[in-house]
Amino acid sequence: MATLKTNTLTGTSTAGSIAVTGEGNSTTTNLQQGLAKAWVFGGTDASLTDNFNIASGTDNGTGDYSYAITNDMANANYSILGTASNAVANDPVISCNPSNDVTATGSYRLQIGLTGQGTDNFAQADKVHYSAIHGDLA
Amino acid sequence: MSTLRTNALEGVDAKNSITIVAGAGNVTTTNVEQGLTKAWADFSTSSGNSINGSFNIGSITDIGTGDVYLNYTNNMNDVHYSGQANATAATLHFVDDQATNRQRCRAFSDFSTEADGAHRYFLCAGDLA
Repeated sequence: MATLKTNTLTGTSTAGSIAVTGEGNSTTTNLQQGLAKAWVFGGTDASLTDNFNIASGTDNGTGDYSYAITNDMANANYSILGTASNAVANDPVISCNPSNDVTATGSYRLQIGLTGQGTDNFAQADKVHYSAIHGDLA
Repeated sequence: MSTLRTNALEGVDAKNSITIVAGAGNVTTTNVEQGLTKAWADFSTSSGNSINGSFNIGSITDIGTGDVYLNYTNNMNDVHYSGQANATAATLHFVDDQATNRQRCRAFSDFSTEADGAHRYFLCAGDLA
């Protein structure tokens, strides 16, 4: 076993690109592309229980939260995943949807709701929620 | 401060396994390869299918309204990986019919109606081939 100690990794040809051998030993993946660029454990009022690269949360209303990113993304075309905690036994399926067309390089918005209820089968509700984004940093 | 400059990283004992200290107590290690997302996408199913931004997604195959295959550039090792889907302006969104070379992603506006949209999201974690 060998141990390399360093504080920073930088690509040689391209600073933001380092290849890593994949699990099957037959191909490589990209270190920078594979890293989550931000994640958040958000409270029912958008409070930051824990996070990485999230500067602040905003409570826009019931089940409606925005998060400001500390180090911005390069563009608004990044992947947003999320889910939410639902402690109510008989609530229907919960859904954590990125809000339409308001994703920006420096922020994104989530709407938490219960499916099978309300207009269009989606009733927004305040829930503890979790989210991560993957894409290109600025 | 030290900076390592390199184009590629390989493990010494096994070239596909590198550990990194990552625990809050600066003791626990995790595995770099296992921790990396192997594919992600922001894609559109409106007005035809297109990729807004992605990593390791080579193409989209249309199956129907709000229903596509995302085809990987570099395949996964087996079908036992974590695929996750999300979507704007949709009630339900999920993955289905997982394969080493592609993942099916579906979005619904209600419990029975599949729906297209400008921003569908996907994430894949697991073992590369």
